[in-house]
Amino acid sequence: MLIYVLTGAIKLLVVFVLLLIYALFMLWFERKALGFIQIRIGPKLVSSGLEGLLQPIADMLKTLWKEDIVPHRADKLVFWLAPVIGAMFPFAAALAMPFGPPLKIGGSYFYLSVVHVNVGILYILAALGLTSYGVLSAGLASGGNKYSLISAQREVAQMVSYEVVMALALLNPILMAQSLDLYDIVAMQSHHLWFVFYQPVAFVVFLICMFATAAIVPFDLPEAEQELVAGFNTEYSAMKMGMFPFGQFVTILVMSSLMVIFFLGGWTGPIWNGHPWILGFIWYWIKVFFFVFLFIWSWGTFPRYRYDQLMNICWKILLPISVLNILWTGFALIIHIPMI
Amino acid sequence: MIKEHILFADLFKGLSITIKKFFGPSVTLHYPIQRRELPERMRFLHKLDLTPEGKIKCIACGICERICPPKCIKMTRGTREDGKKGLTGYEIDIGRCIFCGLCVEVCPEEAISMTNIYELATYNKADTVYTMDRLVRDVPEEKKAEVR
Repeated sequence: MLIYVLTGAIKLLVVFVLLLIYALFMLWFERKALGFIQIRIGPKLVSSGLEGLLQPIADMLKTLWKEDIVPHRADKLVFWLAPVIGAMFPFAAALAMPFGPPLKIGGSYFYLSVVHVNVGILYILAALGLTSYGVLSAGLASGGNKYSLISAQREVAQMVSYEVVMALALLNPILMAQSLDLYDIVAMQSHHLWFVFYQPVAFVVFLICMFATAAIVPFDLPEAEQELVAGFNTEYSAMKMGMFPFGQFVTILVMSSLMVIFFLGGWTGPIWNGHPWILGFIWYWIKVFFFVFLFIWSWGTFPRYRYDQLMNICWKILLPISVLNILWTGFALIIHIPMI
Repeated sequence: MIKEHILFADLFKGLSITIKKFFGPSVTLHYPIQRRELPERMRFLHKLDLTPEGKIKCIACGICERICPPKCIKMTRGTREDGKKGLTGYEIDIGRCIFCGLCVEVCPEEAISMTNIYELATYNKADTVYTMDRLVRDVPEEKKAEVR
């Protein structure tokens, strides 16, 4: 019993530190990649030999020393809680996310996620759904700032639109694998083709919802720097403001890993399948970081949709398509169309 | 219709453009480390030109003083050291100058010209006033090392 508690605590600590380091260096990578896309060079003067790799550490030190301003009319408790919620729930979602293929030690498996539950996907979706409350409460508690309020309203509108469609898109692989366990879904794909070949429509739908979940550029409506002066961030300063991007970057990572697990075969590779363990690990992280890069890439490429356009896309196009897709999947499973 | 709404051709076109730029060269000039090579007659700091004998060409007519839009040129006339009447002092307040070049254009003797010295920021407001002996030198020695 004690060994489970101990391994759990160690895993939790390791994952937490890893995610913090990841989020810090995503700050650097985001600025650098956006710089390259815009024919610039990005940050380079802090540790110029390392291409400015230590810039996020300098940024964080600066942020920690800044004055923390709370608006006079703000709802103090909610104002304080909002960044905590916004950063905590993506980290909570990342607890169920696999960090690699399971290690086979002796007869039992060692799972590289803090918690291995057989309803992992439900837990991750729930935690990511709760992330929106961070933005919502930040907008509402900002003491009547109109930009923050509009941002909160947009976040809610966006959330109710994409969450339904995203769950419906994920339902197809779940139906095919007959399991809510992330490891089972990958195991299913190691015997057959990747689910992206059976479910291309669900793949595209989930890809669109992925951007909406992480609030990245085609759908970064709550943040919309040009219209809403960064929306819910407007009244925040110092480390409170710094916590929102942390949450966002972890959301990006979790969504990328969900994408890889559900549609691109997780740690199964195109030529190799199973052993040795380290190859699976490398395959998995290549795919995950491709999608993490895809987020930054689209950030530097696309203009923003209006939020009525996003709701049109989600409710009028993606929702009917997803429902039809589920009907077809169920039909194909009932009449036992053989899977390759 | 199909190309745009089902295959998302325009989105992929945008993505391909940005990825090409991502791996392409950047246009950034690393300013304090690198500097752009400027032509000698750029429109920056002024210079009072000398005759081949080494005397100031300026005849103290005062047209530049009058045409200067921000009135940053101050000219004093009087008896010079050699006993002749003429220019005794010439000041340009770079802090007020708008680098329009009208003084150069209007000068009948072509006695004033402009150079490519553009790093004119100072720590002291008094240093923004360039007196005659600072303007006479072709390129001030302290700036020479920085100009590449």
